[in-house]
Amino acid sequence: MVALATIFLAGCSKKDDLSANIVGLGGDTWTKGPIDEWISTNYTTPYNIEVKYKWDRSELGEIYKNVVPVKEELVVPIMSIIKNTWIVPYAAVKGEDFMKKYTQKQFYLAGSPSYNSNGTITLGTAEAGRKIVLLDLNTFNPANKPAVKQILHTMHHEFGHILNQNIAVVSDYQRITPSDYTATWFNIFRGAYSSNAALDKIMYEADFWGKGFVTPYSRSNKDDDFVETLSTLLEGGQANFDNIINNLFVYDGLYIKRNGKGVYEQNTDARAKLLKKKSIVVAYMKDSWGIDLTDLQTRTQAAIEAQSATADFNSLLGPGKTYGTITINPQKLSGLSTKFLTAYNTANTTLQAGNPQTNKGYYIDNISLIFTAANKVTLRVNFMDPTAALGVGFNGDFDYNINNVNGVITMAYATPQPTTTTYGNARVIEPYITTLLAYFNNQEFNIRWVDDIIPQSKSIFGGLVKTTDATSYLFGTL
Amino acid sequence: MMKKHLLYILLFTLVLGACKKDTTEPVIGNVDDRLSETLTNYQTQLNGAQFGWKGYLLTDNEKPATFLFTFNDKNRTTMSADYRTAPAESSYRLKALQRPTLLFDSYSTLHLLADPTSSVFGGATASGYYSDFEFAFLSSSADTIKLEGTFNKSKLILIRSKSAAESAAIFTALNNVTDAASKIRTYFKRTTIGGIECEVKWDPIAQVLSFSYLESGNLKTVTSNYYVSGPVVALYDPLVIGTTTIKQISDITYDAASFIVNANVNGNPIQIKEAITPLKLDVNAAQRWYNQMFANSNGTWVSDKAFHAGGVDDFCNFKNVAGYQNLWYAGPTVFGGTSEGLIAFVSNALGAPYVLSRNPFGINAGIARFTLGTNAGTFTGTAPIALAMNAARNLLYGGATVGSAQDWYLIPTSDDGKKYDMVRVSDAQAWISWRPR
Repeated sequence: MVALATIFLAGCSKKDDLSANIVGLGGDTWTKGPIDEWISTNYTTPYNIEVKYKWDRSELGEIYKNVVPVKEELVVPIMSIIKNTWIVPYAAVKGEDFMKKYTQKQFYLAGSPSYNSNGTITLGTAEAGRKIVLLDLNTFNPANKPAVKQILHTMHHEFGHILNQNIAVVSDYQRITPSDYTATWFNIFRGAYSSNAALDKIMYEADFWGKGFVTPYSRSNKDDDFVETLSTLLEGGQANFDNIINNLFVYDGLYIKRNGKGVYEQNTDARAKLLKKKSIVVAYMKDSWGIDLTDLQTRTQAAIEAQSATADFNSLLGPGKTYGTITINPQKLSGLSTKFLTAYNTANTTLQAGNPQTNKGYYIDNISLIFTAANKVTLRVNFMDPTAALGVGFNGDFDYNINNVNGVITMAYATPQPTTTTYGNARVIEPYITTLLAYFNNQEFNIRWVDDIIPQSKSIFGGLVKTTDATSYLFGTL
Repeated sequence: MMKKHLLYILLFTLVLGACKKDTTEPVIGNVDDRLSETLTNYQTQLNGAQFGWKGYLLTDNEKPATFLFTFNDKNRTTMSADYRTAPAESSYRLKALQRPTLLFDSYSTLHLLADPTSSVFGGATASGYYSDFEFAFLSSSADTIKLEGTFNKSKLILIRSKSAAESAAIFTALNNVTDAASKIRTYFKRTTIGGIECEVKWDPIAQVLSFSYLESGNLKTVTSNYYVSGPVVALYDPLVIGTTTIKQISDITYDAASFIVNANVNGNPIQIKEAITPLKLDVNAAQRWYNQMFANSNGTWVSDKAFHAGGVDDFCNFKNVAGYQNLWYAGPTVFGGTSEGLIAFVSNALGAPYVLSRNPFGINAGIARFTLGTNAGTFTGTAPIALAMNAARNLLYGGATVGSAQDWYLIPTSDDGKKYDMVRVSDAQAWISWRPR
C-alpha cells in the first residue's frame, strides 16, 4: 500500500517550465558608467550602501507627487561631500564597522523637492533605518556652503533617526518641552509675525529658540526635536549652538528688558531647556553608542571646512565686501578676553558713575567697529539713557585712520574728528570711557577669524587680536 | 472490512483523478519571454534610427513641445528641444512596469517641463506643466511610436527622422505653418470639409485648431492640439466633422494672390478662406459682454495686446509707450458718473489722453456700436501714448471726431463667459481680446 502511494505521488509531480528569464528579476540594469563605478568604489563595496540616482518612482514615499530625477553631474559631488562630512567623521570616531552596521542600506536621490499640500516642501525622508531619500538636489552647488550644510543637516538628521530607532533616547528628553510640540510647526517662518522686519525676527526666534527648540522643525515632535538638536550640533558646530543660547533674552516689543544699569534679563527658561537637551544628546551619544560628541563635532566641522573652505576674515571685511561691521555686545558673547572686558567694563561703570548733570548715568549697550570706508575704521559706542525709552539710544563715533597690510592694522586716532551729531555725542562720553579708547589708540591688531579661541566660529565671529599680546583680543558678530 | 476496501478504492480513484496533468501550453508563448522580446524590439527600434526620432509632446495642460532624440544601445540619449536647442546627453531605460515603459531616468531637457519648482522653467508650483518623463508604449509601427505619460498622462509621439535634413529642420517646420496661418487677414476663416461649411479657429502659438459647423442649426465645435511634422499638421485627437474624420492636414501653402490657404485633408484639397462674418453670431454676446464689465474687478475690461489690425499685432504701437501694461475699456468705477471709455494703464496708473463713449451703449441685433462722446487730453504731437491712443481711438470709433461710430462683434472665447474677442464688423480685419482685470 505504501509503495503504491509512493508511486502515485511520484507520478503526480508536476514540472513548471522555469527556463524563461523573468523580466526585471534581479533589479534594474543599465550600461554602467563612471558614476556607477564611483558609487561602487566609495559606497557599495566599502559600506554595502546602494546609491540609487536613476529615476524609480517606487522609491519615493509619496509616489503621487510631481518630483523629478537628479542631474547626473551632481551625483558624485553630492555623494562625495556626504561621505567626507558624515561617514568619515563617524568612522574616525567609532570605526568603519560601526558605519557598515548602522548606516542605512540605500540612498535614493531626486532632483526637486516634494511639495506638500500645507505649503511646505520635503527635503528628505528616512525609512526605518533602511533607506534615506534626499530631495531637492538639483539646486546643489558644492561651492555654496549653506547648501552643503543643508544637505549635511538632512543627513545627520536622518542618521540621528536611525540611531534613535536602534536605541531610544531616555524619556527625560521629551519631558523638557512637552507642551510645545505642534503639528503646525511649519507656520513658524520669517514674515509670519509682523510687517515690522525687526519685530518679526524677534517674534520668529522667540517661537522656537525662545521656547527651547533649536529649529522650527524641532517643534514638530519629540523624535524630530531630538535629531534636530543632534544634527544642529554636528552641522552647525559648537559656536553656533552657544551663540543661540547666548542670545536668548526676554523682550519687551523690539527691545530686550533690562535694569537701570543696562543689564539684560536673560530667558533663563529657554537657555536651561536647550542646555538640558544638549546634555541629554551628549550623554546619549556617550552612553548608548560610546561616541564623544565633541570629538565627532570637531571632525565634522573640520570636514565641512575642508570641503568648502572659508576665506580669511581680512579678505572678506571692508567697503563693498561680505562684512562691514563687527558688533561687540559683551552681554551676548562669551569668551572675550579679560583685557578687553576690563577696558570695556571700566569705561561702562565710569560712564554710569560720571557727572549726573551732564550724562544722566548713561550706560554702554554695545560697541561696533565699522570698516565701511577705505583706510578708516569707526569705533561706534552705542549708549543709552536709563531714564529714557528703550528706543532712544545714542551713537558716539570715534574715527581711526588705519593702513591695512595683510590684515594687520594700527589704529591711529584721527584729528580732527568730524563734527556731526554722532561725533558730538562722542565728545559727551569721551572723558568717561578713556580705558576703552586706550584699548584701541595706536594699538596694532590682527584682523582674523578667532576659531582658535572660539572653536568652529568662522563666519559667526570675526575679531581683532593684538599683535603684541595674543591674550588680548575682542570679537563680535558680523 | 468491506468498508475499508471501499475507502481504498475511493482514495485510489481520487489519486488517479488528481494526477491528471494539465498539458495545455500558452499558444502565444511564455509571458516573460514575450515581454523580454517586446522590450528588446523597442530597444532595437529606438537605437536603430540613424537620424534620430522627432518627438512631439503635449503635456496634460496642453503645452506643446518638440524634441529631437537619439538613443544608443547603452542607455544614453541625446536630445534637443524647441525651447532649448543645444543637444544634451542624459540616460534612459526601457522597463517593464505595468506596461512596457520608456523612462528618461536622469534629469534632462525634457524634465524642465515636469519640474515642480516653478522658478526653474515656469509652470505651476508643485506641478510644472503637468508633464511626464515616464512613458508607456501605446502602439508602434516601424516609424511611429505613440506613448503616454504614466503619471500626468501627457502624450508623446515619436516619428523616425528619415534624413539629416529632416532632423535639422525639426524646429522650423512649425514656422511654415504658423506663417501661413497668420497671413489670413480676417478674424473669421472658413473652409468646406466633406461638403460641410466650417468656421476655422487657428491658434498657431498654442498649436490648437478648431472647426465649428452647423448641425441642425446649432453650432458644433471640435478642437484638437496639433504638432507639425514636416509638411503635415497632425492632430493629437482626430476630429469628426459630419462623416469626415480628420487626423491630419497636409501640404499647407498660402496663395498670396487670392488670400487663401490651400491644404489637403484625406487626399482632398481644401481651401481656408477669409470671411467677414461669423458662421453663427451669438446675438446675446454683446449684451453679456457689456454687463460683465460691471462685474469685473474695477468695472473694467483689460486687453494686454491691444488692437490687431491690417495683419499687424499691436497696430497702435502701445509697445512704444514706456511702462505700458494694458489697455482698458472701463465704466463708471474708473471714470465716475455714468461714463465709460478707453484708457491705457501705464506704470501702474491710468494714462492720458483717453476717450469716453457716448451713452447709452448701442447694441443692435447682437452687434455693439461704439460712438465717440468725449476726447480728453492731448491726442496730437509725437508722444508715444498720444500716437497710440489716437490710433486706438480711430479703430474703436472709426474716427476722431465726436459722434464717430464703429460696429463690433463680440465673440465669447471662454466657457465661463469672462473672455471675449471683439471683431470689427466692416471687414473682420481688426480685433482685440478682452479679459477681466
